[in-house]
Amino acid sequence: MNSELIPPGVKLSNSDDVSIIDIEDAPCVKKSAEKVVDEARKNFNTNKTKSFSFRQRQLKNLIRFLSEEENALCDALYKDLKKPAFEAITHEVAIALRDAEETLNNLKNWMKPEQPEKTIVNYFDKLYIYNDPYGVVLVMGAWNFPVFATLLPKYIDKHCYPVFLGGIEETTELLKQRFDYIFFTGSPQVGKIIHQAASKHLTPTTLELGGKSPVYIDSTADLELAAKRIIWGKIQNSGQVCVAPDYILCNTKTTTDYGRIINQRHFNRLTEMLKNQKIALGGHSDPNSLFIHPTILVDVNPNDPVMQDEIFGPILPIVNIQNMNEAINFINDREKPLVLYIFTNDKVVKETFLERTSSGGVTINDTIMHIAAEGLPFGGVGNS
Amino acid sequence: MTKVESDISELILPETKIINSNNVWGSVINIEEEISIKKTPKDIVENLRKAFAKGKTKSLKFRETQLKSLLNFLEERKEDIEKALYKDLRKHKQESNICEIELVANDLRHTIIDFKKWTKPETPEKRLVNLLDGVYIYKDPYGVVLIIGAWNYPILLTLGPVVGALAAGNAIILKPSELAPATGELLAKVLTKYLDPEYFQVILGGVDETTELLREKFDYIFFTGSTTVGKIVHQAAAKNLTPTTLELGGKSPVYLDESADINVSTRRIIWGKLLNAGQTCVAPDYLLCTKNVQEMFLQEAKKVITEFYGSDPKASPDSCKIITERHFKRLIEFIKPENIALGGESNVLERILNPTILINVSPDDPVMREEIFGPILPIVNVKDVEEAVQFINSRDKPLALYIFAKK
Repeated sequence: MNSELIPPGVKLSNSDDVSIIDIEDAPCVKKSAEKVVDEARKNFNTNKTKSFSFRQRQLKNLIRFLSEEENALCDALYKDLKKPAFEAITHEVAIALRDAEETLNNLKNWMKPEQPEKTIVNYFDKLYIYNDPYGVVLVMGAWNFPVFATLLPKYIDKHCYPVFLGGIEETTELLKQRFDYIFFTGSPQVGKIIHQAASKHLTPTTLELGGKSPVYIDSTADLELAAKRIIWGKIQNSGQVCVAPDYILCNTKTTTDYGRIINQRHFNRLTEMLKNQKIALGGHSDPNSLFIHPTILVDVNPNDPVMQDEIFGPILPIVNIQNMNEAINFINDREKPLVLYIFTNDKVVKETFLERTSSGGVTINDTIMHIAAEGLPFGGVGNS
Repeated sequence: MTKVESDISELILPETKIINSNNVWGSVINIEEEISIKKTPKDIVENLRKAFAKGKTKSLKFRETQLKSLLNFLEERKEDIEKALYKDLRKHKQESNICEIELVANDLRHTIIDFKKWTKPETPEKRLVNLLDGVYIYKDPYGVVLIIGAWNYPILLTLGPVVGALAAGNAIILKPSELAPATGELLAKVLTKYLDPEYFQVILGGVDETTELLREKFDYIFFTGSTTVGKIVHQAAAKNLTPTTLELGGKSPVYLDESADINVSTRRIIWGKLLNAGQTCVAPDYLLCTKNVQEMFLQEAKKVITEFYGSDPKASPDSCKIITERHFKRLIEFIKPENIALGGESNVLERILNPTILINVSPDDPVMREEIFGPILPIVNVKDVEEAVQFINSRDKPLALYIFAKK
């Protein structure tokens, strides 16, 4: 939906324009942020969205959109990220579809007021917990999985769900408005900006951020399986996934095929990281097609640039550690990650990591798969 | 288990020393002299973080002992707590127990019984994709948490959040409100002897000290107080993306409908309003009703107030005082003589204000612009339910909404 936000005062060159899915009748593109929010609020106040049947209809339309427009969506994803159709469907469209269907099935139940246990003080009273909507909420989509996180107006009510397009300036304007909830997906740096903006009105937020998700591999792991799964996890969307294994503590190797980097700025950022590093595999890149070969770096120092921010690209640094304790200390010295990957068959190792580290999620002996587990909530902790 | 007997009549405890430094927490063993080492907030946070990394709080047995100790504090030191609350807010013993001490004690009793269940990992439903995997939701503590207490219910709102934080296995820094100094001192000097100092510290101070404290990084901040300060805390937390719970306030409206039982309703509104002299986050802030209902309400209110506090409420031993000079002045300024239907008199020295009801109030008057937090009840007239709903919706979302109606 937008290119990444940069703090005010820093200019972004125009060559970084991200092409966005073509929307013929996005009705709010030309209006000011204030007008858009105002209109949305007026629509909310008509109480139209409170009814179950209205919400049901919108969800059904959203499902229709995802199924009928599958080709258009895959095309757009290919244009933006050279995402192969199979990946586009399984990682975006299908998941959004399944989510929408599940929500539709459970909507009535979720809308029902809860009746908590009573105590003697309230014995003769009726107690309820109502599940009210917040009001006007802002959902900021991420560019790495644009379809996954953004709603489109063709199928659903344009007045209650306007789509607002724009870059940094437009988004900054938008954030000056008052919302009842803000859901943002993106980097921790931008997340902080959003959070500060939300502070003005004490707007509650969900900030789906990221961080450096470490992978720990020990000698008891099935190395071939681990390598395959780590590389699979890393190469999804060319490493541009919030739960991509970021760096390895220990060592391994392998490769496969995939897409390209989202824009010039990120391409430059990633190729900068390769400078002065020892390349064990890959390293070549083509600035014209924004392609970076899967690259593995060895003898990496914790102070190297590649070990500072989230990589978000197909570069996998390996940091050597002596043992599990050193790995745990290394991880705990840094911000809490979104996810921790552990490859081992030793029960004690598994338990020690679970006891002594904190992360949004942990997957043992695989990568990414924990987000496929529907029953599990997805999220980070702390900086993630 | 030996009890501690010390003379608390001055509420400044005699110098005390911990002689058994290994098992300071649990019930107090013996007290002689206090060794106090001045540490900066940075040091304190760092120490707690190191301690948390050791992993002692992960043990459920440890958490249970801490919870039981906190309960012991409330039970053994009840009299000291009542005295502190009286000194800070002129709060009557009964009000202190019903509205503060017993609420936290009950919370503790339930938590001690249930918390082990809450800490168990959940095993959600599996789908085809994960059928052969183990899928769990773990309940981890956040780490080092900051709890900032409030002055109006200094025990309830300061210790309430501590119960949850202890049960979850966090290391805690507690910052009681400086506006309730007697309670703050009690927590800093006595409660700290009941809980393991490696994992529980109390920091006293005002705006400057709190600002310094907020520069540190916490894994969670729980704040109870005004919206204005809440925003400042949120801004500070935003720098580190620290999650927060901000227990704030606002103007909680009361709508009194023509169909309501005027006697019962008035009694309940007055009771809610005058608890702690109106210094409650969920106190009925202002009243919305028709002119007819207003007349009946005023007649009934006069009777109820006399019944509760006598003919001169500020002289009653049951009346709470306003917390500070500044708040007292703020409240006096809300009262315009031409709007007084009842009350308005005050005891400036003791900061006690008589229950005051204001009529012919305009929505733009100062008393209708910020949370009152005092024993003043403005009445705004509306034609009907529809007008009342619109009035409420045109303002910020309140913490509570009270509706008295039979229809």
